[in-house]
Amino acid sequence: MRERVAQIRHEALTALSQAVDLTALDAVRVAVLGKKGSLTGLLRAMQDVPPEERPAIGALVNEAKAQIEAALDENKARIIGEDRARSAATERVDISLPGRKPPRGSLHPLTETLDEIVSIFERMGFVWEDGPEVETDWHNFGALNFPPDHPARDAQDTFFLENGLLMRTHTSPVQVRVMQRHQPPVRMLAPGWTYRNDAIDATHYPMFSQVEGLLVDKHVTLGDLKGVLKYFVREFYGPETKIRMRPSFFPFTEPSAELDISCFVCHGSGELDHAVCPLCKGTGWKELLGSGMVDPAVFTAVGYDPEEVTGWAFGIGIERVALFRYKVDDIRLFFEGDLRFLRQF
Amino acid sequence: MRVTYRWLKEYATFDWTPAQLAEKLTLAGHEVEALEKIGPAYTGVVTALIEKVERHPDADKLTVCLVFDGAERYSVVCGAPNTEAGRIAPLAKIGAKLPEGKVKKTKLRGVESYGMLCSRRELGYGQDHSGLWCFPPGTPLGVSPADLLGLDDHVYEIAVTANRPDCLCAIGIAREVAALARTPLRRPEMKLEPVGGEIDRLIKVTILDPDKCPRYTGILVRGVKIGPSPEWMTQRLEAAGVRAINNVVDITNYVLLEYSQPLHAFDYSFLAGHQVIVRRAREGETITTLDEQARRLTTDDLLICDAEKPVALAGIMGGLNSLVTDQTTDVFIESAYFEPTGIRRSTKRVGVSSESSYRFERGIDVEAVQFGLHRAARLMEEFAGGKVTPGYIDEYPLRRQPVVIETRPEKVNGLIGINLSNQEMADILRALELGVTEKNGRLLVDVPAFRVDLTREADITEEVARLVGFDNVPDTLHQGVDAEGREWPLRGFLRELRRLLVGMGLTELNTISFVDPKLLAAVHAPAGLRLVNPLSEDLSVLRTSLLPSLLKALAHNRAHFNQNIKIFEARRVYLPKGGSEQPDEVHRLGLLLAGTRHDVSWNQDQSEVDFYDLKGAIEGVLTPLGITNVAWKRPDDAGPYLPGMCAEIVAGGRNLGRFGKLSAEVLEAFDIKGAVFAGELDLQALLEIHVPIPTYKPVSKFPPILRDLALVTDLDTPVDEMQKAIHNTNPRRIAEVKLFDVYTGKGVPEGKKSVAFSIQYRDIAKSLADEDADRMTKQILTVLQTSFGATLR
Repeated sequence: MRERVAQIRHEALTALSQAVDLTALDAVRVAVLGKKGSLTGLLRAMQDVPPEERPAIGALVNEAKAQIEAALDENKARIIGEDRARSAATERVDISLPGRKPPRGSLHPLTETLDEIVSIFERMGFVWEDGPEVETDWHNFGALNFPPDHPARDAQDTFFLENGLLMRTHTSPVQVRVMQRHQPPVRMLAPGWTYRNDAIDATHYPMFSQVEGLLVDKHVTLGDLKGVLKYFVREFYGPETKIRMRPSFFPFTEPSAELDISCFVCHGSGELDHAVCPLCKGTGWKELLGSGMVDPAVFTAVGYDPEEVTGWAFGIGIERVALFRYKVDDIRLFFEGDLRFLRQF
Repeated sequence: MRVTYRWLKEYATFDWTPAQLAEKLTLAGHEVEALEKIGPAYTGVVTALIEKVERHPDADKLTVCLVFDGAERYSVVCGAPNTEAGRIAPLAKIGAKLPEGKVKKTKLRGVESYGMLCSRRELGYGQDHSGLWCFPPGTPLGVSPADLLGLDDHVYEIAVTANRPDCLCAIGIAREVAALARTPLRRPEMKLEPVGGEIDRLIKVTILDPDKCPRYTGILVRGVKIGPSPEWMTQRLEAAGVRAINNVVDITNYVLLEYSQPLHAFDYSFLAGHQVIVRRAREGETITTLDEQARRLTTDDLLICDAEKPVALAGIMGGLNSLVTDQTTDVFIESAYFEPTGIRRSTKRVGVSSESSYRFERGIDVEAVQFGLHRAARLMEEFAGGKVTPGYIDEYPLRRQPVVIETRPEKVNGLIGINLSNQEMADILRALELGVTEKNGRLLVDVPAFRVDLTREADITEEVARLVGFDNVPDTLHQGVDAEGREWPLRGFLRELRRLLVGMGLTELNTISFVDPKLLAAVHAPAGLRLVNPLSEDLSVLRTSLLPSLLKALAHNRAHFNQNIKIFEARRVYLPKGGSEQPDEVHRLGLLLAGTRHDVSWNQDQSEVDFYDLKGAIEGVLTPLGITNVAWKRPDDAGPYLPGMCAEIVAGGRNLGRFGKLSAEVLEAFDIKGAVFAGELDLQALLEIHVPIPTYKPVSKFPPILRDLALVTDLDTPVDEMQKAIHNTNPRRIAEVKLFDVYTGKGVPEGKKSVAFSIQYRDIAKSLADEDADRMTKQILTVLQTSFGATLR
């Protein structure tokens, strides 16, 4: 019996020390220590051993088992070490090579800009509404208090269609459509494409996008308009940005206002490197959007009672915002579809 | 509108610097787009009295002058012929900068000169170099000539909004400035002639169409001498961007810029019968305007005529036949009010506009017509040597009705979000020269004729807000929610779709909605709606397909050596419904792939994209949207695609679109070479059938059994249907059917193909035995045999 234990131990230790990989190591473990293993078999054969010898033999077997288990751990470490060393010597990737590229496209910069603007207003409960781009004269002008034969129409450079319709010149007709089908209070956004008959150059394109906002309720004030726009500017341009509101004219709002923000190149100082700031031309301000209190004539046109409700509206041109945001110097780049440009976003 | 700082100072009292004034104007709604300094091209020049003149000891043409600038005396050597004691001339002191250089202490023929006396040209004022520029006796000494004459100034370029024609002149802007400064406005003082009198014997004015011409005034200035205008007027005209011509013409222009009153000066001798008749044109009647263009008119146009012929296109442009010339001595000045929309229609129709028509079509001050008239006449007396014939003509058949706006101060405060007292509000309105009386707590605002924009309470509200200053209105946030609003359904859908496509390597385009009709035809798209006034023929039609735009973008990229193109555009197309109906604006997804699958890379293959790349991209959109039960059909009409390489997508009973390889003649139209795969999907249909929220199917805890089957079947047997048929033999236990090989060629009979599926059997409730798998496989083979004639390879 003693010889048998000694033999098993010897054979196991030899086999372990010769094992070249973890599979061989494991095979030895199963053959010796497994359920049907040789050493396990010896323990089972213990009843054949005279009782007085059993403690000694048992101790012997357990000692062998402990030795083999220690050798297992030892050789496992040896093999892992050898593998590492071999790998280090033979398996080397060139880490300077580029990885296998997963596909990657790009969202259009105007989509990204619009999305960010819209999401700020959505946080304030404004709802995205849509409307047609091909509009009637009434929705684009009449309902918005542009009288026929009025010079205010000149500024709109309208594209007319042969069937008497026109391309909307602003997203404001969506206001009209929403108010016609739905009672106040209204809190809506109308992002979308608009068209004006402008010759194409670095700053003009006959198609551009706007986000229109409209709030109608009882007791809405000009102060409310300022509050919301200030919130928007702070979120989009950062808390240090200042705003300035100045009177302007739009037929569909009264009073009308344009919103300027402090120039983000010279931070409102009007100066850059001791010269006139090239962006704001020294004024320290940059025009951002048009806005105002909804003209009572618009409420009347859509069937709201201007004595009952008041409201405000604004419109932001997305291209202008995107041009400054990405420091793009030519508006045409947005629409040419050149991948060298689009893939940068 | 361009106006100068000094000009405004003439009418309004304020103590703001030029830059402060610019900001005040901008914040009051008159945006100053540019503020330019116009000023002398010199420094260090002052007026000085020549006290003593002596001959230069060594030079006949030089004199040595002792000059006094009010503080010190200087000895100056001068070469001008008009040096004379007692004269006052500009002295450039040592260190002065002149347009032609710096003045230094010099010795001229041995005599030291401490400065230089200057001609006009030497200071940059015109070309006069005949001698010293002399100022009248009594001119203050030690003053810069620029300050003396008001020649240095600041020009404001103001964007006057369409509703404020009253601000298209110096007095109008000054009125705003005075209101902001709360000081009174000073108008030019002048004596008015009585209506009628001697002039009635010299000219007769008849208005035949008072609707179009409610008021017409005229005055006669005789004995004028055409010549140059005074310096200050020339300067102001030039600052305003108007070229000086001669005194008479300049005066009419000056009054236009001062009062916004368009005037017309006729040569009285050319007015046949000494008559002025204001009437509509006859259909087809022509007039040659002073720009030498013959204008053909309609009965909607208004003419100024004499006894025989038209002499002016009313309110727009004078006729060539009655123009003031160098020989003119007697000038008949017209100052009228023409109805705005009529003038606007005429300028649009005739295709000509002018500074006059610009103002008439926005509305001038009908009550101030006579002031502009007299201002011009008095200036002609002063600067053109004329004499006003006593009396003036004032035909005013259609009098303006008073405009009184009942204003509720609480409504005004409520809309702005402020709390002014009635008194404060009235003060603001009065500062703008509006008449205000208070009655029962309301303000009755009497609107003067120059404020054509004020008709309602809301307009008065704006005036109050403007003068309070928008910046002084407190910021607030209105609380509440939209009662009925629901997000536009495509909003979230489009966002998800775009992100999916970008994740698959496609790049988003936004291109213009207008296309060349020929290119629409080239892609077999229906004709689109035409623009009346397109920028060009290639942007003349509303697109009915996204394909031309994608192909143009491809061509553009190829022209710039961008080879591998994977692009999409998610936008609307405009499908005409006929007549004047609004078109169907349908959102589509356009996709286009061309070039190689991967960019050039050391470890990715460089094979060209094919049909299955595009189909894969489409599946990559449909699957995440929950559109899984899709039928791919060969369309009867392949349209722009090759018939054998085109598929139509049908799901949920809807035709979702079509895609494939574009045929050669389509590519030809865009001048594109190589294979191009493209397609268009109907996003509205996709939106309607997509499953936004998937329903969970339980996953099994038990192990699967895998079986591979290679089958031989006819070449045109649809593999997707075989796949479905396999799954349908036991949907509960067949977890997956994967196609892993398609093969034709050696070992497979002609007209046949081999397809190989890997099938995973798995039960939700127990482990399957091999016998279960065998039985199910046998069943599959039977079904494939009977339905598709497929046999085990």
